[in-house]
Amino acid sequence: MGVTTASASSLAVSREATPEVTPLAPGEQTDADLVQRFLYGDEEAFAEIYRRFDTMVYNLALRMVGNPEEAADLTQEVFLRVFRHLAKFRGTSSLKTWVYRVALNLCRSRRSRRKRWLLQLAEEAEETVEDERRGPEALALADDASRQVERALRAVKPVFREAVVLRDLEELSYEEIATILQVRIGTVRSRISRGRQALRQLLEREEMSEEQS
Amino acid sequence: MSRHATAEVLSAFLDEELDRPEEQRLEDHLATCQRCRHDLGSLRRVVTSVRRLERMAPPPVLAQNVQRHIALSGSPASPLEWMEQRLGRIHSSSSIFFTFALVTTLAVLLYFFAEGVERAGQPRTALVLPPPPALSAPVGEQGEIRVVDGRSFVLMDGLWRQQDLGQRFADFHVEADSAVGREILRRHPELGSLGNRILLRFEEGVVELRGAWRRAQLDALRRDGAERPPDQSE
Repeated sequence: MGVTTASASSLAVSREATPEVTPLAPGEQTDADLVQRFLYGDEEAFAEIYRRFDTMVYNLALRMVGNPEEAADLTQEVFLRVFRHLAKFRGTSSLKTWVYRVALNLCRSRRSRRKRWLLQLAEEAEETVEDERRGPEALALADDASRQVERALRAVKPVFREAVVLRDLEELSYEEIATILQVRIGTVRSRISRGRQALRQLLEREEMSEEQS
Repeated sequence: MSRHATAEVLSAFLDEELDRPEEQRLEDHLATCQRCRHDLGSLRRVVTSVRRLERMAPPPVLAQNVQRHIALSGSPASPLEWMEQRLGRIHSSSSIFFTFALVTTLAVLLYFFAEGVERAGQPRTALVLPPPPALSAPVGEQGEIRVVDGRSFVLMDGLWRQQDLGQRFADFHVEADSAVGREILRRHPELGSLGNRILLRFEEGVVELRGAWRRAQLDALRRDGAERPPDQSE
C-alpha cells in the first residue's frame, strides 16, 4: 500500500530515498535544501529561513505600513503563512521572491481592511515613522533629511511605493520585482519611475516650503 | 530621441536597464542637453537619499512570538501530511479527493460556527468613545491584569490593552499632537484634549478609538485612591 497521488508520490519518493547529504553551513544551503529539510520535519530549517528573511520582511512591511508595531505584527503573520504554506513552494522562483510575494500580499490586504478615512489621514499626515525602540536622544539626532525622505515615501501611492522600496531599498532586479509583483518588466520600469518622480516632487515641495518659512 | 528624455528612460538608465542602443542614444543626448543632465542629477539624488534610509532590525521578541504561535497552532507542513497523520494511508486518488473535500467542508463549517459563537458574545461598535476620566480612569500598576466580560486587559503605559487578540488585530498608536491625531480629535471632539496618545485598533474594517489620559492626571487619580475597571463601553 502506498500513497498514490501525484504530489504525495513525490513526497513518498523523497522519503524512501536516502539522499546523500553533504553538510553545508546554514548560509550556504540552497532554497531547495532548506525546503526539503523543512518538509522532513527539521525545525532548524525554518529557523534558518526566518533568519535569512526576517529583516527583509520587516523592512518591507515597515515601509509599506509606516508603523513599527504594525510592521512587527505583519512580519509575524508573514512567517506563520510561510510556515503553513511552504510545502506549496515549487521552486519556480527563488524562495526569497516567494517570501516577498507573501509579505507584499499581506501588506496589501492589511491596508485594504482599514477604513478609507483613516488611510487617507495616515497618508496625508506629516508624521515621521517613530521607532519606539530608539530613545528620544537618538530620534532628535536622526538625520532630518532622512525623516523627510521617510515622510515623502509614505506619501507616495502604494502601487508605486512598492516598486521603489523593492528596487532602491531591497536592491532587487527588475526581473525579481516583476516576479514578485506578477507584472511585466515594462510595468516595473514604469512604476519605479513614477514612484521616484513622485518622491522627487514631494521632496522639492518640502525644500521650497522650508526656504519660504 | 525626441527633444528631451522621459523620466522613465532616465530612471531605467540609472538602473542600467536600458538596452545598449537606447543607452547610447541617451548618452549622446545627455552630452548636449543641460536640462536632461539636470533631471538625471535630481533623480540620482532622490535614489541616493532613499538608499541611505536606515534598515531597521526587527524586534528581538518577534522570533519568539513566531515560534510560540507555531508551537500553539501545530500546523502541519502540508494538508496531505495532516491527512496522512489522521486518516492513515490513502489508497486511491478518488478517496483522496472525497476525503479532502469532506474534511475541508467540515473544517469550514466548524470555523464559521466557532466565529459565530465568539462574535455573539462580543458586541462590536464602529466607534468606541471613552467615558469621562472621572468614571473610568485606568488606575493601576504597570503590567496589572484585569478581566472584564471574560476578556483580559493589561495596563501598559496608561492604557488598558486587551490581551490574546491573536493575529487579526493590530494596534496603531497615533500621537495626539501629530497631524493625524489632530485630525482625529477635530472629527471627534468628544475625545477632548485629554490624551497624549490615541490608540486605534483595526479589526476587519472596524476601527475602535480609545482615548488616553495624561500621566499627570493618572497620578492625581491614583493619589486620590480612585479604583475603576478598564473601559467597559467597548
